[in-house]
Amino acid sequence: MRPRARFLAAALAVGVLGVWPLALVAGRAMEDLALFWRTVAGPEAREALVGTLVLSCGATLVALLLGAPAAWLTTRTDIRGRGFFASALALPYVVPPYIAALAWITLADPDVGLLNRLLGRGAFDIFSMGGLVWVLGLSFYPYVFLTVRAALQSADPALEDAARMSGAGPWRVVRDIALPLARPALLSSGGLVFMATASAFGAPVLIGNRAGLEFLSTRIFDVGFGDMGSLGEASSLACLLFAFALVPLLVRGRQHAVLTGKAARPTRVTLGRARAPVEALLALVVMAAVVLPVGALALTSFLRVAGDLRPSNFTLEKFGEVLGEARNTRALFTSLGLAAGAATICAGLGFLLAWLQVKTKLRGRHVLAGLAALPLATPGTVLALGLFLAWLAPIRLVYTVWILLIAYVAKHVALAARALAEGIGAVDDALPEAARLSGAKGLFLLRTIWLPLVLPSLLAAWFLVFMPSFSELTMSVILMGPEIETIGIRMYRMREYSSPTSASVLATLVLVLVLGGHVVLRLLARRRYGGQTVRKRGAA
Amino acid sequence: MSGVVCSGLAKSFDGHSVLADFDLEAPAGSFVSLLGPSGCGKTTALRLVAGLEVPDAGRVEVGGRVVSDAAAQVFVAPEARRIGMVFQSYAIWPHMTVLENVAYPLRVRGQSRAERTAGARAMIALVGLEGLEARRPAQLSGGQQQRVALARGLVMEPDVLLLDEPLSNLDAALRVRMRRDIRRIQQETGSTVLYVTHDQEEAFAISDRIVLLDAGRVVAAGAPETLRAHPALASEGLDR
Repeated sequence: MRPRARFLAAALAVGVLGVWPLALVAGRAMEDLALFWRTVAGPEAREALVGTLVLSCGATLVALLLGAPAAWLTTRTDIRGRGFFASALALPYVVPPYIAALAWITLADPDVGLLNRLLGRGAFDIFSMGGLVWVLGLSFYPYVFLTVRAALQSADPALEDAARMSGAGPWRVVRDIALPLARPALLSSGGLVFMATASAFGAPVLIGNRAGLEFLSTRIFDVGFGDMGSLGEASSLACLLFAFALVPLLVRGRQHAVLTGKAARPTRVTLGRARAPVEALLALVVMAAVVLPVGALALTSFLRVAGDLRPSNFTLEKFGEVLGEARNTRALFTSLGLAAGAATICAGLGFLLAWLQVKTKLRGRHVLAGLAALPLATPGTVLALGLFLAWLAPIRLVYTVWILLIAYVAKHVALAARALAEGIGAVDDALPEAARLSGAKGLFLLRTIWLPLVLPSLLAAWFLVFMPSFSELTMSVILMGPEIETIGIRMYRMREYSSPTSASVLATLVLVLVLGGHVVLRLLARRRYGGQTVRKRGAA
Repeated sequence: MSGVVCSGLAKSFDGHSVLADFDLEAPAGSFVSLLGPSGCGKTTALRLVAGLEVPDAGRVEVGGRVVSDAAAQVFVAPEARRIGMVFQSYAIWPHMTVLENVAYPLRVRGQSRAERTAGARAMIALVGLEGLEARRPAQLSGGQQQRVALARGLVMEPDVLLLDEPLSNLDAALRVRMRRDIRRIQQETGSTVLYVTHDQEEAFAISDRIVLLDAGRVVAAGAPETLRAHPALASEGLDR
């Protein structure tokens, strides 16, 4: 009976955290059907819908065009620096899109952008649909890059060799074999980019507002939380966005049964004279996706006057100024505390969810895992609206730090559960069984056997939640009043009202922290594979 | 159809030599096995003949044509060599039917649909898979996939057919039947075959000629009956 009780506890947590708030949104939207139809079919909604559609299609296209060829080049050709490109091209994965947007505003603001200073005023205008597509495409292409790379790496290289032996040249092999085999990976990662773009909030606000662009996510915010707030209207739009963002999940490619294949050294296509230009192109992508935005933020943080690159203009004053301001340090500590709290709770709840899914045969465990992942797939604006409705009354947590703790846990618990499911799944059943036969049980068993065995996964889960929680923007902006601020809210307000340099300083600090977390994760992943005693014999 | 001649082939990966001084002569229409323990370089030798690896030194001649010569900087791409190959994992394309798999080499060569369907059907009949043309690879047994790979390797009437441990993924009874079929098909089509295996019994049962490899070097070569008493065969290394 013990597992059943734990299952009920986990189900209760998942229900309260994610399912209930989302149900409230749907309920609120359906409460007044006339309003629902008027809102959803109205001209503003249509404009926002078209905006989101254009943006999502555009960013998905950019992501596919950058990610897929890069994946092929780094796995199947003889370019130099494959390892470097593989790591560098994946880096934007860890940078929050709104920080990328801040960076690109610094670079390509039509008047004061660094690039426009170098190349002449008006060379680039980031405040446009094209600019936003560019920023989000560059932010999300790593989904495609990493997924397609994994697919190519796990495909039996002999499949492509066989085509060569059948008389097909390298390009023909790509068209006839590699592309069809990568199709499921392309479709799923493209769908993910589409979803992520449709859900994005920070970048569309920062860039779209000045360009006069409307999107579903920003419209929900304006309608629900603006001066003339109407939660019914916002809920109707939220249903629309929710449905919109889930469409890609329905578009699934036919999975090809993976046939037996020995992992072998893939035959690398010799690029010959094209090699140097191809390497240069990849370097250009790294430049655009990583070096330019990160460099722009770093430069601005060290510059006295924005845009002036003379040595005399470099300074550390900005850091002192920004960190000297009490509001900023308070926001920094609020974010650190909230992220650490959310990460710790998620590690615990995630452990329970993962254990239920991997090590028990309880009915409904897969449904529970699916429901726990629902908030992660839900656009931040929609989830925040649900949490707002849920915690307004009778228990009022809205505008307190507690609502953000709930929001971060709800949104990210699936990340922790996924990491832990992998770690727990690798523990041979005989290990805890042997401990139980030795008389261990309950918390003692958990502390002496489980925790040491899954510690690397547990730490990975913690960081996987800590990083996005620390830099979270969307839900924080919606759910917090003016008194309490997180680091994300600070950056957002600084950019909105006048202080782009201070925003860059904070963004640089966040980037350093997030990159540090990423490095820790990489080290943990290495350790996990070293833990051979944990693995079942023959499962390696 | 004509033979294969390799002389002085050498290959190393990351500074570690896997094959050195490799000489081989496979007359047209002969069945030659490369026999040796795993890691002895036999698969590398096969891949050098195929053009899937670039040799560090040495020459490969296929059908009287030099397809690679390190000294003269000649290297013909694998797709231009007219060589058929059967991989250890069979490498049947999962997104194509049996017929599409077998017809692919003809499609690449620009044959019309009618032509290539006829050619592929004939080859499918030769390997004994009539009636399975529309199947997907996932619906086939290991032995049937093996036959598809064989048909695909032979359909374009290559100068030479390379087989890389083709039977290692099959169960014992099927292995014996398949190797008889491979031998029959080789004799019916008059193909030149290079056959890589680590199984002594298999090599002796099937080959006209055997090349013994160990640690990247040729230890001995000759007709099966002349090699039966070779000391290298008794050693631990060549017995799997």
